[in-house]
Amino acid sequence: MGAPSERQLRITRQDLDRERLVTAFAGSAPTTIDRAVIGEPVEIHGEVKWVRFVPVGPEAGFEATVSDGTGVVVAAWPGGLPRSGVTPGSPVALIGTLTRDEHGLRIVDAGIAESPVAAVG
Amino acid sequence: MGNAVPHGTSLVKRLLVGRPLATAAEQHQRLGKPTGLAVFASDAISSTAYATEEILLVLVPVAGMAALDDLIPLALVVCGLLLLVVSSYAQTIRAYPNGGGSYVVSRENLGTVPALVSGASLLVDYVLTAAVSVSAGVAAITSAFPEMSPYTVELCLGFIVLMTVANLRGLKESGRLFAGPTYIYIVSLAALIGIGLFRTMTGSLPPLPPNEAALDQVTQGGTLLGSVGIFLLLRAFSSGAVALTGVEAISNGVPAFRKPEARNASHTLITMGLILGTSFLGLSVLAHKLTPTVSESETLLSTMGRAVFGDGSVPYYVLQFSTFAILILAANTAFADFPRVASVVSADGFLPRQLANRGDRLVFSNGILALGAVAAGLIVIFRGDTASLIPLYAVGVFTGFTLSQVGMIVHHHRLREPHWKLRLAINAAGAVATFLVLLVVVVSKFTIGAWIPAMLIPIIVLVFMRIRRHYARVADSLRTPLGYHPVVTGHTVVVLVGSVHKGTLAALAYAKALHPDRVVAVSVCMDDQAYQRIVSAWERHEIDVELIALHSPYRDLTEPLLELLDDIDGGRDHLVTVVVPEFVVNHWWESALHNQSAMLVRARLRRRPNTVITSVPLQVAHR
Repeated sequence: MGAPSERQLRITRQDLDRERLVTAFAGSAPTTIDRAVIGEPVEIHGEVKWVRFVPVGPEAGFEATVSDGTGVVVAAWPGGLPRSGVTPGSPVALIGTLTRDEHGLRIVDAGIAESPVAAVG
Repeated sequence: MGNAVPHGTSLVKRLLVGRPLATAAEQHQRLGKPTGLAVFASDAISSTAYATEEILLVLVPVAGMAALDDLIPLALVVCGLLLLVVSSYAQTIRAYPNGGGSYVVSRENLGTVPALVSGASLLVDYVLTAAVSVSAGVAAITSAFPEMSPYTVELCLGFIVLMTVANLRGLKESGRLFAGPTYIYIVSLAALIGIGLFRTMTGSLPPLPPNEAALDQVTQGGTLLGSVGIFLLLRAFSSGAVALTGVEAISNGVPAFRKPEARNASHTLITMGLILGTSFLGLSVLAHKLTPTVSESETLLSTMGRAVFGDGSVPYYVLQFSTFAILILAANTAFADFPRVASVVSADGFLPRQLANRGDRLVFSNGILALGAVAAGLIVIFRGDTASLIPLYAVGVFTGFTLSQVGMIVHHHRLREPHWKLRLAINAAGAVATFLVLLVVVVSKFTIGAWIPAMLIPIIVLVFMRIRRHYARVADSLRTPLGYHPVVTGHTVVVLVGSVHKGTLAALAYAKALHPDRVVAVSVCMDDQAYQRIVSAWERHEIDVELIALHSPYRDLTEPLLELLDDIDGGRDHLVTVVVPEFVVNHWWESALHNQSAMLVRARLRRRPNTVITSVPLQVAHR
């Protein structure tokens, strides 16, 4: 076991996490987030970073923020309840049309395909 | 609920320190001359317990009993120096009635760096005064009761705690507590000198025969020269000059005296000078006539007391007891003055601001606690051994004396008040004399410990400057140009939740009461079960606030939260308030069982810009 390199010592958790996700998803997904084309149907594989649940009001609904290490996309289900299988840390495969708003990339009413990989660590 | 009764730590503090005093009571806490003498002069007066002996301990190993012939001339020189220093400080008090001693004099007349050297010297010396006095006093106890020797450090620390607590109770109270032993010592010493001189002059007390065994021990069987060289005389003089340590204390503490402060302080200084000078000279004359042999096993004062009062007599024991008491109480001068000097240095921004604040009892509590802690540390490091601490002593005092007198020379030259030439001459003579003593102390004691303060003082000066630079930088960043308005483009309140309970709901209610643009509840879920629990609780309680559940791939609470906050504010001038529900429990040990995550979050978010961290307390019912 050699001495850790300077990069190994200085790497942040965020970078470490990005590398982990790229390794886990880049090979399996038809499209990575950084290469996805706005307005086109896409299938993106990634891990749920966080979910947002708004129970009532005009913004009521459920959202999942998903990352594959190359970028972040928000899958939104307006008016919807928490979806099974879409939980913090779970791997998901999102299918839908990519849009962009002021907050970033979104897929509204995304379909959930069979998860391509198990949870990665 | 405003009428809170003290409990727990507050109650202990109240018992030890007493009721808080209103600021308006400050005048009543001031000292009259008799108490002021006991508080500020105990250090200087206590020097008489060992100064004569210190001179002989330098000379006797070389000159034997013939050293007694040099004692009176040396004592006269020390008294001359004392006269110069007291005259100089009387002028300082008149010129600077707000106190501060050599630090203020140096600052006003010589500039920042000399003032800082002076301040550092004084602070170092007060720490040493506290440590040396207490360890010397404890040495007196362990000499009388050798079975207590293994507990030297514990006894020293006990006395440091006692001094700290007594001084936290207030200046007047500590003065009252410690005035008795100081005056008993002064009276005992006067009786020893008066009765001793009377008996030796009338022939009822013949000179003591030399104690050959003790002499052999001190001279280590070496060849005696009968006379001593100039270097040794200078070294003996510098050892005797330790009698001057503590003389500057009154000039630092002028504001502690009753009105008219400067006049009362000046009178007290002169009284102290007279007591110190006559006692020191009187003891030297008595030693010259009585010819006691210095010994490693008995103090000179004890040998003379035994001869004058009679072995085992009550006055002898009173002298011994009061000597032990005054040696310990000399530390009280340090406790009275260190916090004052620290407060002046702190008010100038060279020490933490907390040292300039007065506590419950109108004393500079933080300074008292700091002195107690550092002195206790020194005692632990040096195992309460006076001999190891003594060489560290006096460098600071004579640096302060010299700078103070040079400062007064500049002062006289600048203001040219009546008789300024005479005053300038006195200060010039004092400056030269104290500088020579400083040189002798540093040269003759450098290798045996004087190097420590000689190195430490410049380091402390550098620390002072760093602190000042920090405060200047803070002031600069807070400087507000006219018309400045902070820009806030939006406000989101993030409430951290672990589960749904009364505390969570109270925190959410508080968040809504702030009327922000957005309220978000955030939960960091370590596993799927935790996520399911929080979501179902959210639905069950019908909470109308959006919930964000975060994944933490490395089981860390703060990293995902920071990432989310970056996403929420997007690096704009958006204000984020992070609300942390916090349990308020009845006992300190119960606190350790809660709120660890809250502490962690607070520590990580403190440096984040535009982020406010606030707690919503939940009082846990007492059963």
